[in-house]
Amino acid sequence: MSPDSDGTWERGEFQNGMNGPKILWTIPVFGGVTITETTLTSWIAMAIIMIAAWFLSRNLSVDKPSKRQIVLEKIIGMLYGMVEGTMGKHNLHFAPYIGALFASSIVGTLLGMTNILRPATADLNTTLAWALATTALTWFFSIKNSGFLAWLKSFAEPVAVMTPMNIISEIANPISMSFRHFGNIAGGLVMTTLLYQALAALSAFVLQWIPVKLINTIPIFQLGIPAFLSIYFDLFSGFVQALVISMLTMVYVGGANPPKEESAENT
Amino acid sequence: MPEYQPFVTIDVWTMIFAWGNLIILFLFLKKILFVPLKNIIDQRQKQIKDMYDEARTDKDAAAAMRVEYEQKLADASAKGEEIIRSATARAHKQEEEIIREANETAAKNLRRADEQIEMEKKKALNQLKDEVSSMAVDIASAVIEKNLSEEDNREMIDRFIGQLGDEG
Repeated sequence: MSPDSDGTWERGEFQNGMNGPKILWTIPVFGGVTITETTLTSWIAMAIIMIAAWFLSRNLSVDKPSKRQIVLEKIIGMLYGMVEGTMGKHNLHFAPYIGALFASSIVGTLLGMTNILRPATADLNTTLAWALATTALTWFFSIKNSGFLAWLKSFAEPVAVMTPMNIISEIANPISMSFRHFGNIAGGLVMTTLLYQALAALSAFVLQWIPVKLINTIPIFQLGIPAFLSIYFDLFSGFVQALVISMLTMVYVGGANPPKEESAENT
Repeated sequence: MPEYQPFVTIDVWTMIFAWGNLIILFLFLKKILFVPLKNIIDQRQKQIKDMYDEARTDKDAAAAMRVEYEQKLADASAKGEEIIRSATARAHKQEEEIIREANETAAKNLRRADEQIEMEKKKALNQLKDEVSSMAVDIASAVIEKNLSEEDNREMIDRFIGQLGDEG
């Protein structure tokens, strides 16, 4: 068993996890717009988050909050607290963006637990897009706060010899961010797929004494056992990676947009 | 065209969709969730602040009223004591006056009684003198036989009785 010349596995040879996302449709405009499973999952995730947000934010009340509203206020309050702690009070307006990023990440990952949809974050393009957005925000605020030339000059600090290092680290940031997230989720996907394969093989081995072909091909060990692995790879890893990418975004953007008096000293 | 994309690949359209979704979700969440919730929380904070302010104002007013009432109460009790004291003093004065008046009246009555007694005594004495003198005249006229004029007799007897009274 080996991948074909184009780097993909034959259909049916493995489950989806070992391949990249399936291309569902190709819209024949702009040289072929590809709609992959990743895009579908992220749309579904987006729809779920929007419906949840709409549901949670109905009938908000000032003096008699419902239980739903109390939970919502708690969650949003935690988010604001985190943004304030990491980025400072002057960057509080980033909270909706961080919330959208975190929710997209975690829902996009957890949708993979359905085993029908492929996790949106198990595609490098998704995480790379988010990481590049973070980098773009960082550069935008650096240039806005200190000017384009000062920003260029900051690469040559503390000494000019460091310039290549600084440039590499600047480029490495989005790559490490995106590959960290993608690698964790995609790795979990591969591990889960491999486990399913192994459990199917084990089932076939154990059940081979049963002469009825219909029965001895039932992969009974696939029932329940992968769920324990899923607790780590989907729930824990998904949560941690969502937290990490949100945190890194907050740290980078917050660092590029310090409080006003501090930036006044720098210029 | 492969049905599956490679495991690791760069697909611009997937990235564009990821960006678009993130931006749409960001704007949606901001409009639907964050802004209304922030408004609600701000309103609540304002309400709570108002309530606290009101409570503080009320408390201050209550404290001021308490001081005022305590003052009034103190004033009232002082006034009451004053009233009692003045009433007592007036009563004392009246008592003294009544006693003095009673004493005076009693003394006056006593004096008048004394005078009356004196007068009665004098009157009785005079009456006695008159009777004695007329009796003496009657006796003397009967004794002397020679009847002097009544005026002479009377003068003589008066002198006699006057001597007698002076001696007595």
